[in-house]
Amino acid sequence: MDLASLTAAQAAHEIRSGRVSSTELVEVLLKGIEATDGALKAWALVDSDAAMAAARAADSARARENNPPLLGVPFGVKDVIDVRDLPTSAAFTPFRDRLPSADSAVVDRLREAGAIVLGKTVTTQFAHADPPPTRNPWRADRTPGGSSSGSAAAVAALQVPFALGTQTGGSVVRPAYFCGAVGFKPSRDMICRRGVIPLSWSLDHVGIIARSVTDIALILGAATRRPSAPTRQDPPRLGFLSIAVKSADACVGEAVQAMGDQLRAAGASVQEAELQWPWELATATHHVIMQAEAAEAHRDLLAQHPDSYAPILRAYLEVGMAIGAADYVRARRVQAMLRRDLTELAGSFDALLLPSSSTQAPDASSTGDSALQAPFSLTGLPSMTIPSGLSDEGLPHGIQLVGLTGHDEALLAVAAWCESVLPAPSWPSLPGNRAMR
Amino acid sequence: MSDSGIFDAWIEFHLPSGRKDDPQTKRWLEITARALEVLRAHPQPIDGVAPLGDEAWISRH
Repeated sequence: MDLASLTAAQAAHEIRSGRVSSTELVEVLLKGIEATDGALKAWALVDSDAAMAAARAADSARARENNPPLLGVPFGVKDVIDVRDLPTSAAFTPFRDRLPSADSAVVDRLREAGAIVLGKTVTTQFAHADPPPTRNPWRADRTPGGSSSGSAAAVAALQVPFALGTQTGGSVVRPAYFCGAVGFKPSRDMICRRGVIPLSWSLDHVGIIARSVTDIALILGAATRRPSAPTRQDPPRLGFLSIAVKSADACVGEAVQAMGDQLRAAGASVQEAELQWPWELATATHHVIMQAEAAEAHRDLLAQHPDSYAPILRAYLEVGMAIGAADYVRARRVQAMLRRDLTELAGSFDALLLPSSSTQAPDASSTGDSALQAPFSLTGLPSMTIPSGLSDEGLPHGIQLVGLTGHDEALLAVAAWCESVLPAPSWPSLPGNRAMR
Repeated sequence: MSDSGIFDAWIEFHLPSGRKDDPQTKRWLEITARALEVLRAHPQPIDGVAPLGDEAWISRH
């Protein structure tokens, strides 16, 4: 059995049954990270000793019945999310020794469910847009996306079964798509943000990156204490957002059209979903809110440490200080209008279907474009990407699905149906990692 | 003063000296100015309160 390729649900099942110990699993993953992360750079910090101690404790605690759902399953935590006694550096040098005394709410819930913190995954600075050191596991000359760069790369590279990310624009869905993983941004505030360094209070979300829809449901259930399993028998009714396809590269648009055809051939209804406003209104509104809020969030810290800021973020914050109150209020009013309209549209279908991003993973000088993810961070509707094969360039394809706020489980059920129809996901083979197993 | 003039004036006021020629600053100034333009060009949302000066809205309600 290749332990590193187990999904979270498979690992939990094997550990519960006693066929695999958490200690064995953690040992294998640590060896894999040691072999591959010199090139991949997905981890800011690996907490080997504590993870091994937690794994031994999980193995000792395993009982015949009533084991917590993620007993002994390791996970990564994006380095803007607090883990007790590990630094939350946010890739910001003055924060390198910032030691939180308590877990963030989401880490607390996952530990309660038996999961084990393996370490902190690389984030772009303060979860913004400056390129990270992390590389795409499919092609080292491409970005893994951002800002949850390390989380997406580590999951796709089989270094860990799942990882936590955050999304303010497109920071969970886009990197998961670029790396060929499943990325889930839940409804706004479905997962508590306590203990997460803020970028934009009205837009920040905590999300999950894993290797199957079943895993996302399992982890979401643990993070919200509302266990569920996605089950759907009937083919879904999908609303195709062709307005989004028009703003995507031809190769991406054609791939999503082809996936739509494949879903239709399997029985899904795929019909045009028409917006009443131009896509750019949503991205512009998102831009104004996020930039104004980020400028305020960072006002004091930027004044204290201007030269410690990465160049893209520093300029973004400085310009954001000039956004006026009237424009910010207008953006909040338009945000409410867009939320109402998108909710009404999404409610006409089981889910909306669109490309996960406007391009495949670009070169490593950027983290990609958030235009096709940001409208759902703006409106709080749950959104996710699932992989759908590889392009001729050897980069992952994927589709994005969007559901109704508060109906995350229904979205996961649609995604599970689509996952069963689309090409089975594959995972990159990195130099060194197979030899370690 | 036009809307874009107000943004320019705020930029003059807020930007630390020597930062206006930074390439990233120039890029964000362009992107933000475009976002504000799109936002301001959209009619004020009707959210239960008549937009000031919109007599047609008042007569419709």
